[in-house]
Amino acid sequence: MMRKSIDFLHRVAILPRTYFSRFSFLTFFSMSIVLLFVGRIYPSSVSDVKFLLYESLSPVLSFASGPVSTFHTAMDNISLHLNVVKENKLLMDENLILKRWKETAATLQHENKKLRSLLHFPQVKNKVFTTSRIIAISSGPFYQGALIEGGIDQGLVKGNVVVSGQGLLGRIDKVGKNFSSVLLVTDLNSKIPVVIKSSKIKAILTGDNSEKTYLFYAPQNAQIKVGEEIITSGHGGVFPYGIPVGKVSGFYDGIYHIIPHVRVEDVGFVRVVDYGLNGVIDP
Amino acid sequence: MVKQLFFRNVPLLTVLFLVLIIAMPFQITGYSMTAPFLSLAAVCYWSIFSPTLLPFYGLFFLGLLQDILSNPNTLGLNAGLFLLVRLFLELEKRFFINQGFVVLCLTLGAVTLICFLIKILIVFFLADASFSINPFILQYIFTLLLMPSLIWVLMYLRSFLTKRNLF
Repeated sequence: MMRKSIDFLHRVAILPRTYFSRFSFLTFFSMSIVLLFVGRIYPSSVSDVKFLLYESLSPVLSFASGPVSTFHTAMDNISLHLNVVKENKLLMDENLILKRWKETAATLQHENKKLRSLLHFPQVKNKVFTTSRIIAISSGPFYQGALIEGGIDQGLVKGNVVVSGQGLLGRIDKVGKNFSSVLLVTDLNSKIPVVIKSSKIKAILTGDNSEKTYLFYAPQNAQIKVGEEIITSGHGGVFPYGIPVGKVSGFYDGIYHIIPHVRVEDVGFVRVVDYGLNGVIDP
Repeated sequence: MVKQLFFRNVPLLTVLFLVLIIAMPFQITGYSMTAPFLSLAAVCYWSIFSPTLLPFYGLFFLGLLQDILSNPNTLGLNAGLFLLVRLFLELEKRFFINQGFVVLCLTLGAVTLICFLIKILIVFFLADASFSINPFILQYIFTLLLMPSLIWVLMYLRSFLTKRNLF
């Protein structure tokens, strides 16, 4: 009797294990199908959950990307040492040009201040910026984003502009405690009001999750030449006026193609700038 | 005990390593768009040679991790792919297990191609807007180019661990 009870209990105890070993494929495969459809039906909720999971992985990614950053810095230093004479000459020439521009800039700044005062132009708020390291790139045919160090604890908020030395990289899309997600200009969901620098033609810049971006809603008879500079127009209150974005690379199938100045793979550190703009982005 | 536990999870750890590699910010032009899908190649290899050390629950979570890091709009896609590949290759492993290196690489290349096609089809049905398949093609080509090296490393690793009875 005792033996029968023990046998019965043993069979009951191994039942979950038997189920699991026989049906684990079906269970997990069904879960993945359900997740696919849930992601399709409730994309914003899944996106929030995904960011929470991404943020929880951030310490691991930050640790793992450390050697990568160190390696690239070392390679840059080696390259610098090997070309030190050439670099030195280039830097001296650049320094001379910049000194001349410094005097011009000081004159223009003084003149600008006087003119603003005469016209009662509103004062531009001083911008605040933070330097952040890119610790992961989540880019592919479906999404163009990056994870950077810095979050709520460092004063970053959704909508902050992310730039590098060459121009606009994107904007802060989601903010966690110590890490933030950046939506790149090349993402499908990125829509940036821009203007052609020379002709002041306004348009909207958008991506398609590849390396290129495109100009939409430009006037039909707009004469835009290849090589023209594109900058942010300031419309919408998210990006201020004047941040370099890219260059016109061609006109195909009725759409202007733009090559962005900044590629996420080419930068290790970025600046996150708070221009104090409260645009159309939901908090 | 801990040592044995570690070595028994080497297949999962290699897949984890390859999943994390894709998200690393290598400053290589075009890398983020076309990073090779080596984690799938590793899943293919271990599914043939050590399927018992590649449990479905482990593959599910690694697939989800892959989705979070690279495919946020299609959560569950890579998880499902990893599970399908594991099941298919385990069932058919008798055809692959005694093949030479070249035939093995070609076979795994064909399996990877089928997975890419499934991925494109699923994304096509789920996407709200049109997308380019050029990154997929480039990603597949890079995966195919790097696959022999990866398979060689995994074969060496498996042979090393088997000889020392750590598997």
